[in-house]
Order: sequence, then C-alpha cells, then structure tokens
Amino acid sequence: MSPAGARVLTVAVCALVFACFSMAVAELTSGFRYWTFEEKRVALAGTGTVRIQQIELQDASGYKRHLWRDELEEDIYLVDFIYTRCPSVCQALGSEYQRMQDILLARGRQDSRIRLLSISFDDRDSIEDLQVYASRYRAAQSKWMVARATSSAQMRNLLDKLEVVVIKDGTGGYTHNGAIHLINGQGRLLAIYPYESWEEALGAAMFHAAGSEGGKQ
Amino acid sequence: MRYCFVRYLRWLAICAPLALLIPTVRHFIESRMALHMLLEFPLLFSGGFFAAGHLSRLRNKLRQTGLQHADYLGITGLTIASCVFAFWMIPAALDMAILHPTVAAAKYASWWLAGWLMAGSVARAASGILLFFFGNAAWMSATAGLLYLEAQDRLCVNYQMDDQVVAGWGLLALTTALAAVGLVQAAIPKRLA
Repeated sequence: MSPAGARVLTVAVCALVFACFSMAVAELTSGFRYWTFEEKRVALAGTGTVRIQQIELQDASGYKRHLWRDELEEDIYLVDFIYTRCPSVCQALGSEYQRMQDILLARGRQDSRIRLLSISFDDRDSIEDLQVYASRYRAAQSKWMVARATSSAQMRNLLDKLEVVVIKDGTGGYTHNGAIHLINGQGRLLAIYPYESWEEALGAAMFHAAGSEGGKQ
Repeated sequence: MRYCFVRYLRWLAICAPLALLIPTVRHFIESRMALHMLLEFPLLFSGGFFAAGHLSRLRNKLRQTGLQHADYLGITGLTIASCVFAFWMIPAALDMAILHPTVAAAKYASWWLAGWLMAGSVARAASGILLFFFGNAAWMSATAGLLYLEAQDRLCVNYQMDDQVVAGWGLLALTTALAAVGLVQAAIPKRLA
C-alpha cells in the first residue's frame, strides 16, 4: 500500500476508534452527564425502573414483618442504611430522622402513610443495639422502624439492587452511603436524596403520599 | 549478563498480570484506589507491551494481513492507548469495574491490548509523534490527579476519601514520569525507535 493510502486508512481507523470511545463514555456517563457512580445512581432513581424484592425485617422490639410484598400497600418509605456503632454519618441521619418524625407526628393523620425506616447492614448489630439506637433518637414505633434484615442474603440483595456500597474503613467501622431512599409500598424506588437534603426528601414523600391518597378516593 | 537481566525483567512484566488471577491479590490491589490505578493498570499495560515482542508468529500473521497499514506512523495504536487511558480515569468507570465483572473483564482486556498495540506503534512512530502522545497522556493524568485532589466528596463509592488523595498525588507523579519519558525519547530517538 502506498504511504498516501496508509495515511487515509489510518485517519479513517482513528476516527472509528474515537467514535467507539465517545460511545463508550456516553454509555458510562448517561450521555456525558454523570461522571461518578453516585451521581448516576441518584439521577436514574427518578426513572422508577428499580424495584426491590420483598424482605423480612426485624425491628428494635424483635417484631418481624415483611416489607414490599403487598401489591396494594400504599405506604411510602423513607429508607436509610446505618450501623449502630457509626460515629459520623448515621448520627447526622439519626438527628434528621428524629426531626422528620417530629414533623410527621405533628401533622398527624395527613401523613399517616409515610414511614421512616432505618436498616442496619452490620451483622454485629443485635436487637439490643437497635433498641439503643432507636431510644437515642426517641424513635416512635408507630412512625420510625429501626430494623435489620433477618437474612444476610436478603440484605445483600437489597443493597445490590439499590447499588448501595458499603466498604470497611479499616478501623472496625464502615464507610457507606448516607442517602435517603424514597420507596413506595410495592418496593419501587422513586428517588434518592443526599442526607443533607432531608427536607426535600420529606417533601417528596408527602407529595407521593397525597398522590396515593388521592388515587384511592 | 546485562542482556539476561533485561530478558528476565521482560518475562517478569509479561507474567505479572497473571498474579491478578489470584483473588486475594486482585482484591488487595483493587481495594486501594492508588494501587488500582497506578499498579494494576501499568501491570496490565506493560504485560501486553512486552508480550508483543514474544508473539512473533501472531505478529507475522498480522503483518501478512496488512494490518500495519492502518497504523501509519503508529498513530492508531497510540490513539487507542490514549482512549483506554482516558476512559479509566473516569471515576464511574473505576466503580463499575469493581461492581460488575463484565466491566472488569473489559478493563483487563483493554489495558493489555493497549500495551500490545502500543509496542508496535512505538516502533513505527517518529519521536515527534510519540512526544505529542506522551504529552497528551501527561496532561490527562495531571487533570485527573488535580480533580481527585480537589474534590470535596468521595468520587468513587468503593474508595475512602484519603485513598482518593493518595491516588491524586500518584497521578501527578505519573504526569512527571510520562512527561520525562516523552522528552527523553525525543532527545535520544534511537533508543525507542
């Protein structure tokens, strides 16, 4: 092949390589919009395509119940993931949940469908640990369930489905996602909010609760 | 004697990526951001780079197909290597590679292939072209490094904040190394050509 021909061929192949590269990056970042995993997770939560499977939870008083099993369940859940020994983000989340609980209880029947749910992902957390956490933030049993999964396989499945990543911090604790997940009664993920935006999360929960109330009438 | 030593090092570079087949080794390397980016990527790349010299039968077959014509002055191989380098600097790509086995496979394959193609391209490229691509890689590495250093939050869900800072400094060190290699090969072109 002549040098001129090789040059043209090379330019064409390079253009093709660059097109493939651009497509791969566009796929990874959902059209050059989200460059981190968490940004993408939060943005895609709003599409309502993620549905979590039913799970059996055990609350701070040892009572077991299945969630996200009933197709007709109309509750709206604000879910966060914690471990009771957490010195940082779970403390902030606990205080926020306490404030949300106070607001919801003050509003009364209007927001009766909204439930707060803190799920521990730490196998070390016993019922007593959950009790200590719940009483520290004065969690009212009727409104705020502090719980753990009865099977670690179900817990793993839940975290995988929501793409919540928990990593060991090397000092016996965990670095984990502190986001608040808005999930409806059928287990469909409606939105994700960073823990700083708890007011926005609560507002959205109220909006969805009002919507399901309206749909019923 | 010296030749034996160099040959030994080459074989070491070729075989090193096989260590990643051991889950404990792989998990250890990938559990730290700096090791993931600055040890695993170079290991895979150099594995492919040095393997190219030892796969002469395959290379000859490829030469018969005239494939080298599509790599005029080594530009295609260098472009592919640049794209691979740029792609794996994206924080979301690192997380996906840890969470999804198929993405991980793409990572191992792409870095190895980038090294393998680059070996042929370096032999074909003029030193000015190599200087351009090395300069470009240095610039990309510096941009990613500064971004990792300045980010207020964790950019990868699989890594700690302090790990991200170490990786940022490591990328800046890599910038210096890439710029140095580019300049040195431009000063003494015969070494690489």
